[in-house]
Amino acid sequence: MRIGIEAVGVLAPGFPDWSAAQAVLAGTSAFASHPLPPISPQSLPSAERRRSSPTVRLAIAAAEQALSGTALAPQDMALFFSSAEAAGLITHQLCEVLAGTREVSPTQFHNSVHNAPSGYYSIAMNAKRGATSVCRGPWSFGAGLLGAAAQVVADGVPVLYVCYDSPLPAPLSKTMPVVEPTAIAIVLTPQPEGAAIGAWEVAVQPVAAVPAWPAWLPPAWHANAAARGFAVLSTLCNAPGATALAPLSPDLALRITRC
Amino acid sequence: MLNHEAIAERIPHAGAMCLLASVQAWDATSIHCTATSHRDPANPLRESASLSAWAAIEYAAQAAAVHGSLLLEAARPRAAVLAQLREVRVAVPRLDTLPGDLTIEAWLRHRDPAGAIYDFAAGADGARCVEGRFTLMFTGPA
Repeated sequence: MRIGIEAVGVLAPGFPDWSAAQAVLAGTSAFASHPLPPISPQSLPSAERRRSSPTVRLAIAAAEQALSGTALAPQDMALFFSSAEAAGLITHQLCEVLAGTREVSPTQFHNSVHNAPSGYYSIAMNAKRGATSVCRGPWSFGAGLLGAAAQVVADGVPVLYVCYDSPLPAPLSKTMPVVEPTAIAIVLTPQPEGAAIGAWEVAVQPVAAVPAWPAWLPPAWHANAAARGFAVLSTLCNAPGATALAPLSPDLALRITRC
Repeated sequence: MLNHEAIAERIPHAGAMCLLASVQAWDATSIHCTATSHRDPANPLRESASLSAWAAIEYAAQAAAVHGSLLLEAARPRAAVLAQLREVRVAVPRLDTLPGDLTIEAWLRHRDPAGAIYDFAAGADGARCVEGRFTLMFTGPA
């Protein structure tokens, strides 16, 4: 499946935006971690910004970055969002309330659902082309990208793909140690020729073992499903023919080749 | 038109797991199959003595596999995984109580060297029971 890459957004400590990430992904600069500034998406009205969760703000800020790199209107894109844990902080807070007063706030409840980020985004952007929200644990990046690519080629529409992990509090973090936020947003198009950044050939291949993480990538991100996308993005910072694998299961991977 | 034996020669599914009874018609972008195995008490997809409507997805995937082998003019389709399901709608809880033959239709929406995307529908007695879309991704050589 061949798809165009129109724009990219990234957010992680050390990767405040796509231009800052490219030298590391190209292998010409060493990675250096710096805390991210407070994440404050501009497209959310201030009341929504206050009511939303850190997970929502992370996903939407990454999406805004990608939007700023394309002339395509957000209303013309379908949405495909993917996250392994989604809003773990909200899940934790709900459980604390359930163990105490049991008076769950409706706002907390609606922030806890897996598709809350795409919901806030579609309302803020008036994006009505449909939103899909998927979860596939540690394989969420590859599974989401495959779904988004399939929608691009089957429906012939641009798709905004966003994959994100936000930190989990204890005790959830003991079993799922997501300690730093990572988010990737990519505008995919059905026109591989002439796409602003490049084009990918997407395929599935059997693998004998789960692909290794890039050597530069901080081990602290190994619990982040979205961080699997950095190897995929590195193909865009290298010559055509560059290939990366994003695991789909213990024995299958998505193979991304820059055309 | 293909009968059950001709279908079994074209897909890797063997014995009772080869679910389709016939291919009634096919062309470059569609295939129309029938099945009677939904009423078979020995159907290997039965759980708790009933055949869930979700089994229709496997029937449709086998129809797509037959279609792939017919398109390739090959004895066997390329090895593939059912990589994604979308917009699946189920109108009945189970298939084994449908008295009529099952009809399974699949329409090819996209095909390239990496995979294929089909819309599908399964029904009986003139009513559509299950429909949706799936993406098959090839894992074997062309």
